[in-house]
Amino acid sequence: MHSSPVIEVRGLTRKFRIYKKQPGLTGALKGLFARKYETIVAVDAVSFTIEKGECVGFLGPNGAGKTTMLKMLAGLLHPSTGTASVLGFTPWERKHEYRRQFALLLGQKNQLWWDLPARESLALNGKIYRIPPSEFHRRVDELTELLRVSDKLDVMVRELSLGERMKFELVAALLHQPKVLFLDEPTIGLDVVSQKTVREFLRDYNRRSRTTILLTSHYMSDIEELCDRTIIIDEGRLFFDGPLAEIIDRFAQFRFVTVVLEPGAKLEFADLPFEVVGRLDDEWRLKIARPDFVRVCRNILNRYAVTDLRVEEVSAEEVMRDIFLRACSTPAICSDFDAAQLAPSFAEPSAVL
Amino acid sequence: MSTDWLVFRLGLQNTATYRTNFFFRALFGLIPMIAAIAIWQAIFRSGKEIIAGYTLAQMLSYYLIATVIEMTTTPTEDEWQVATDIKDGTISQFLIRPIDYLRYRFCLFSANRVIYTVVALAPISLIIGWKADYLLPPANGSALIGFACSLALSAVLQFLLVYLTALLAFWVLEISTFSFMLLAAQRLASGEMFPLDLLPRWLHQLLMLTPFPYCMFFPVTVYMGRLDTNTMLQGLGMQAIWIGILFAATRLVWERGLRTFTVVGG
Repeated sequence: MHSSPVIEVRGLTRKFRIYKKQPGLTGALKGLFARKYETIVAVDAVSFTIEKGECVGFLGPNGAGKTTMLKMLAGLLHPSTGTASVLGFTPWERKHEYRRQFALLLGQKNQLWWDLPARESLALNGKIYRIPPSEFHRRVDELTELLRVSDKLDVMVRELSLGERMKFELVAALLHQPKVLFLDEPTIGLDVVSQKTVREFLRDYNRRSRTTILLTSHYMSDIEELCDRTIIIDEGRLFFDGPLAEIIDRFAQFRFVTVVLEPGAKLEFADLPFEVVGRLDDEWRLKIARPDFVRVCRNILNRYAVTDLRVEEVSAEEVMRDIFLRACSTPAICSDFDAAQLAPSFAEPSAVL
Repeated sequence: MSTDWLVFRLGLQNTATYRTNFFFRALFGLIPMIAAIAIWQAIFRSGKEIIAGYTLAQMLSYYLIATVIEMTTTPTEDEWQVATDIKDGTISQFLIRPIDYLRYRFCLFSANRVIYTVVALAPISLIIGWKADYLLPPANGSALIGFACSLALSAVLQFLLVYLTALLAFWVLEISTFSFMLLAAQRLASGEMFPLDLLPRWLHQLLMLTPFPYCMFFPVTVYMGRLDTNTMLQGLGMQAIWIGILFAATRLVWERGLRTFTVVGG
């Protein structure tokens, strides 16, 4: 028997009406009488389902609609059209019963009491979610231990580092053992070490507790390490839903090959399609389009005495940059961008539910 | 220990951080009262024994009691804190948790008042000590009980007025204009600047239909025993009615505001 999905989103659309001020003082005066509004579609007919225990990453450039999506699922925004169900609840009805079962962490917002030690904010959360005291202490100990902040419990929040604060935000969000966890930029602004701690913590937490996690991040490595599944949103539309590796496979157009030749040899092939992107003595770094990859490599190996050869995939980061750049190369084009125009290359079967 | 009690305790700790601010505010907040006392002393020096039913001692007591009421019940930080929560989106933290924001704010308001009272105690005692001869005790036992009740109701009333104004932050970027308007109305109509029975009778009666006199004028007159039992009970009833009305209004405005926040987009 198949249990129903934890999150089910169908045709979710969110439009915003924003006020456009005309430039200068005359513009300001005109604005007093006749305001010009522009409708922005932040999330455009997005559908997907997420099963219990999945960890799904939302990727997309700034303003793609990731945060809007999370806010709708957390019940902070009404959609313009479409439906969503999380744990069987309609999020924007904001039933207390639903509120007890999920958590939302906005990386750029602070939910801890600024002038008090983090311990106090945690205590408040313990009360709000009615966690029994003994259980509360056990969870605080465990979570702060795992995130390596147990010695900072009594430090004023304003005196904590950004990383420590984020870790306490996480502890606060997890105290009531939410079944669904929405994380908006949980690692933003953190140093590499803290990023790694948070990432590893989340991965273990997800595996151990089977908590369903939805997270957005600008750091590709967050998504690569944490999420088995990635949803790419751009201009409000969903255009990819699947494992990150598949995106690379699908959208990476090049591979890089480093060949080490015999001293003094010169790599010259007018007939072969590759580009030399770097050279250090006898080490040549080549950029080869993927359809030509095997042919080019075979030819080089045949004609030269190659002493070493290394192949690199384009990084996920580069692929993303490529995708987003193609999707909106300039702001002007960006606003007129229609994903349908890119359909041949971006048509994604799993996007159509 | 309940959530409310914990919020109150955290509020005490948090507000205590700003005790120096509170101290100076309390200190300089006394200036208008000192001015009022000086003016009334000058007026009474012109020879009249009783003005509008007040002796000099009663008149000065009025201002001293009004100051005590202000110290213990008039919101100070709450308005901009609520408005800021709404404007910067902190309010989201309450919408996703099983907690009621109004109730949470009321606990914090209570904590604010306690800290403020403690901090303001020194400067105010100084003033009261200075005019100790003029501070009359509560008129009688029932006046004291009535005063305690009306003081508590006045606190709730003032909190609701301020909270309601702060909720305007859902629609306007800057609520300070509105708070200023409320403050001006309250200064005049609550009896903070002068006893309302100095006004023409019709105006006084008209004002008694608004919530403002029940914030200050009413508790003072109860303390001074200027009202017979019936009128006092009626006044307490009016306080309760206004609390009911304002509470309903805050609920309505909150719902409306949330709709703006979640439908239009905060």
